Amino acid sequence: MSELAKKNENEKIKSRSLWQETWHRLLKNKGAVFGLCFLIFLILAAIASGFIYDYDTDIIQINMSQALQHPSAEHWFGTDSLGRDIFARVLYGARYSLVIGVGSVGIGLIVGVALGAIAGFYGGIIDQIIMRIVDVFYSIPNIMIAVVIVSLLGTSTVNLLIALSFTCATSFTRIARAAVMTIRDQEYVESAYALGLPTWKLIIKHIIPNCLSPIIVQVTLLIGTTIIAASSLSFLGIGVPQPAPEWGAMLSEGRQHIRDASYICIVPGLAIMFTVLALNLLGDGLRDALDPRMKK
Amino acid sequence: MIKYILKRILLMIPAILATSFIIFFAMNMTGGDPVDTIAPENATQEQRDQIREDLGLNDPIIVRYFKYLKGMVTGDMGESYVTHKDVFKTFMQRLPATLQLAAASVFVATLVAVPLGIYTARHQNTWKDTSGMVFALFGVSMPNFWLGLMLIIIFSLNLKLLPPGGKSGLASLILPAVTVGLGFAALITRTTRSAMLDVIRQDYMTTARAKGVPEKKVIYKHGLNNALIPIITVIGMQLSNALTGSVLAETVFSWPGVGRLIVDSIAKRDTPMVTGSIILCCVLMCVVNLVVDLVYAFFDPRIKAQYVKKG
Repeated sequence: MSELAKKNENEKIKSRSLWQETWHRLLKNKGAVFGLCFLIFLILAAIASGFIYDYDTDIIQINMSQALQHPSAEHWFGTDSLGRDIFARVLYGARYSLVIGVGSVGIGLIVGVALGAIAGFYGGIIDQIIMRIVDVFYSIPNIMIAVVIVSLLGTSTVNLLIALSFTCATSFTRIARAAVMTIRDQEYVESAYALGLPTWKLIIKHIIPNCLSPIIVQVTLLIGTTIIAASSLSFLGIGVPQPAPEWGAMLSEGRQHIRDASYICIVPGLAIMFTVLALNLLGDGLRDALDPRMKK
Repeated sequence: MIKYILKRILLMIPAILATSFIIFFAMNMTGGDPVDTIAPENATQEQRDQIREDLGLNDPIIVRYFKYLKGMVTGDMGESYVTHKDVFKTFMQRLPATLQLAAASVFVATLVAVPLGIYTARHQNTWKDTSGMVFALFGVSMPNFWLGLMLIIIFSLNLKLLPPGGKSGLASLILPAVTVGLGFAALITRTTRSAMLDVIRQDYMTTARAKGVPEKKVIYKHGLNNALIPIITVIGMQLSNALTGSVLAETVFSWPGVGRLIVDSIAKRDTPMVTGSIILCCVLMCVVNLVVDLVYAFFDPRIKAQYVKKG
């Protein structure tokens, strides 16, 4: 018994150091560190923007006397056609992109991993049913699913979030299923089963923690893709409704003035690009750090 | 092989049924009465009831779905609420423009990405490799409608070289194709690079060099040929993405394709047009995916062998 306890302790130490090791490897990757710093900065800026600006007066209030001012000391990125400060709107817009990105990936993660784990663990008819449904959603292009759901529920930020979480869920289901299927037959799972652990506990305690690495990588990369999708839909007028300062919606509005005030179109796009770039750098770094064998 | 093709075509049927079922139900449960869209503002209740009866809107939704399916087989997907034109015909009129853009963008992507991928793989871990990968990273991270706007600002408004939109000859195809293509190029570059890296250290490459085969031939004939499968996979995936992914580029460049048809119809609440177009897009994607799968079999005898066994 004491030997077993000792062994347990050893394993604990080992499993802790595994995460530390990953963290260490991540910090050696310059791109990932840049991505991480940028994201932390963006999150802080998004939080701070709520204290600096008042939504009703600074962000959406129309001020025609200030319309279409080119970038200056007073308005760093200029003002849009309704006289609103673009710097303030871009900063405030980070909230939308981050909330939608993290929110839909979060919902998709919970639903997708649960479905994938069930499908992969039980196999057979349950697997067939779940995977065929996922296949159908997978075969419909993401943007079309979002269009259908948004036109079903109406255009609003929450509905956009729901629509995007659908597409996230399908991709997590596939990843989780594949990971669970490889782990299901490992000896430690069999022995836990033999010891009489209930199935749900087996899945949550033994299987999911062991297929975390592909899921963590996918989460970071998918947040980026989702942010682009959200701004694309807002650009088409079926995402975050006006006058909210969502980056895609700002570009859609700026497009009307591309001839006389092209600066309106530049900054919101840069904001999207650098946010997604940071997420991609972090995702790639995490992949290398979690699985050094994959590194080429 | 023929057995396999037939099997795949048969398997497409349940997929298309399921897709059309989901889309039809979702679109027809949408809030808002379609009669409001069609009827003139001063229509009497009787006229409104008549319209409802004519459209068959009084039937239960499941009956309407089966009627719709019956029509779909014969290419009758209803009439637009707004223009009163045939949905299937309108879609088919718009399709060539989208196909043109999709083909051009995948062509641009392949032209840029495959050589770049090979180049970065050959110079792995040098600054050339790094800059190629940074390019790919930016390509993946950039929203392509924004890239389109930037290209318009640079090439149409400042340099006045290319038209900012519309469809008028080859010149108007360049900016949209580059916009859609560069996003794809990023993915294809990454795939080509990693596929080439897998191949480049194989013994047969060394053997070929030892035999005195010129380096170019080693890379392109011995190397690329064996790295082709994942590259074709990703190019094929981009082809089906291009069909629907060009929705944004079509909007930015006022390109008269299917994507813009869908976006415009959504704005006008033209349900039959949206439903029909989305279903047809899905069918089209299934067909493209099938063709891509068959192309693999052509390039890789191993895959063909698998199919024949299973078929």
